[in-house]
Amino acid sequence: MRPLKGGPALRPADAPAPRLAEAAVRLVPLEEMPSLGERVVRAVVVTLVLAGAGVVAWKLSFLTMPLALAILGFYVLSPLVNLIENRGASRGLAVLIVFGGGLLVLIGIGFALWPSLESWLQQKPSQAGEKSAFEIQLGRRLETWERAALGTKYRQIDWHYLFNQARELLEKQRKGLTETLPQVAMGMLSSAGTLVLAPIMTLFLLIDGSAMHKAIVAQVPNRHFETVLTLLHRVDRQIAAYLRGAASESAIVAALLAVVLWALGMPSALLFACIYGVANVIPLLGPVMGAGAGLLYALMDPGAPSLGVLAVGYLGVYVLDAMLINPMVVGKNLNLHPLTIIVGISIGGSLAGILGMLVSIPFIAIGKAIAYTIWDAVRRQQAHRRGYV
Amino acid sequence: MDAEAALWTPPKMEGDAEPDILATLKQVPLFQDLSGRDLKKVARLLHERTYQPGEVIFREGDPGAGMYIVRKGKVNIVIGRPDGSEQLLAPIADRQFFGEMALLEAAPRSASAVAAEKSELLGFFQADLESLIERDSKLGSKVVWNLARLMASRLRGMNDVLRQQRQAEAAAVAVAAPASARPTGSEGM
Repeated sequence: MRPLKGGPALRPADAPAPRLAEAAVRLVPLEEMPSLGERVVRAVVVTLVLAGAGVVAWKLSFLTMPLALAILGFYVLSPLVNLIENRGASRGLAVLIVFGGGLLVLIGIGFALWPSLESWLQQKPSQAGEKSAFEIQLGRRLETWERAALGTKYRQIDWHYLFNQARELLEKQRKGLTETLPQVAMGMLSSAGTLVLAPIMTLFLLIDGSAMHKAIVAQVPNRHFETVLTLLHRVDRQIAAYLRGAASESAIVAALLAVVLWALGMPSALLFACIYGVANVIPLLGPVMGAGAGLLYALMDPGAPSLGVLAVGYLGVYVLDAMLINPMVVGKNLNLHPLTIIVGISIGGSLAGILGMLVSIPFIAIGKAIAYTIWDAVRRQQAHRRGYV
Repeated sequence: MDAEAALWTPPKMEGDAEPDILATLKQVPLFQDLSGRDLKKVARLLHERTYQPGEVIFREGDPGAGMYIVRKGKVNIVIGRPDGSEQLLAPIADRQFFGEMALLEAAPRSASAVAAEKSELLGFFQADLESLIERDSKLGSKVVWNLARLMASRLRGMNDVLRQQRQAEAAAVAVAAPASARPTGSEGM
């Protein structure tokens, strides 16, 4: 065997395989297979660490939601910051420009939505014996339906009773909604901490995110360094692609729906388009929730178009989104099972309401990417051990 | 095996040994022609790692994540053979680098890297290159351009090795052929 550039061969190729005594002088040390006891101890330690992290996260739950929102904000805004930085601006200036622009957009949306919200908030609950405009409208709609086909075709069913029940239920929901709206507004103010902390955290993540990432990775032992780096990169790419796609999709769908609702003569078209756009981020249930809000309102507002026309409008936007906008904008699908999505949304909703529902899917996707990368690394290691050692 | 060694043998470095990161980067062909400002940007992305003697940096077969620059110390690039023997392909010393092919794709590593002595390495990974391209596309494209030139140079080196091997084999066949074609005494009878 000829000596190679850079150094002599340790052992000729035609020499017999190394014996145990020779293994000690190997250049590449063999990977140590942990014993069963070591594996059990490691599993216990990892479980304890994860449980401890869970307890800490639970105790610091007031920070969990702002941090989760800040991470989502970071992913959505960083392409814009990168774009401006790419044009020659410093990172800090790019972040300030994006934040200033974002603030202006939010103020603009706030001003556009305020009249609708104000009129909604000013709806007084009906007093005893009085009927609100919404209640009158609801009664009219239900009577129309009752008198139409259903009441005449199937006489054996007590339609009058059923419609009365439906009327009571819907009116109760409406009352609840109108009466609790000021409380919801106060609740939003009380969670102002979250609303203030999240943008501040996003700001710092955008400015120093890469330095923080580097500092975290620096703590990883050499043995797992490349795996962790690859893992973080994969998660980063998957989540970034999903969130940016979802944010763009929601913005386009909201704009499209606003035009459709406005053309149909729906009051507060922009408000309901925004509700649909935000809800659209939640897979499967989002469009139903978004459309449900608009349809329920239309049921009770005399100025709203008929439910059928409105439903066709929502359906048209949904089909356009599913067939055209989503495939074009959301480049990378998360490939989550519908059952996983429903369970995830339910858990997120029960833990942190609407915000929890919004952030649950990206975090499930993070978990999936982590699990996949670890599984892949373990599989490769095992295949390598079988083939090389 | 020679062709594999040609892929891993680092280019010759010039200049004095300086432990400074920027001075180290200046010696790496991937970052040549970059201004001091650009080098600082690249330096901010690098991961500083310290390895003890005998510690594995990566193993043959592991998915490639990126390249390493030896700031201080010595690293051995070793390839394993099916019979269990090992071969040292190239020792990598101060201010030399290895694993740059992994910047382009996460294909399995074709050799292992082990620290021969206590070594300080600078890691530059695919994720860092992508981040550089996103945040400063001009600088990112300069680095990618240098990487392409480096790959072309490696390919040329490998071609030379293969050509030499082929010529040596052809010469060996030419020497052996007349001997086998030569008639024996009994045949002539």
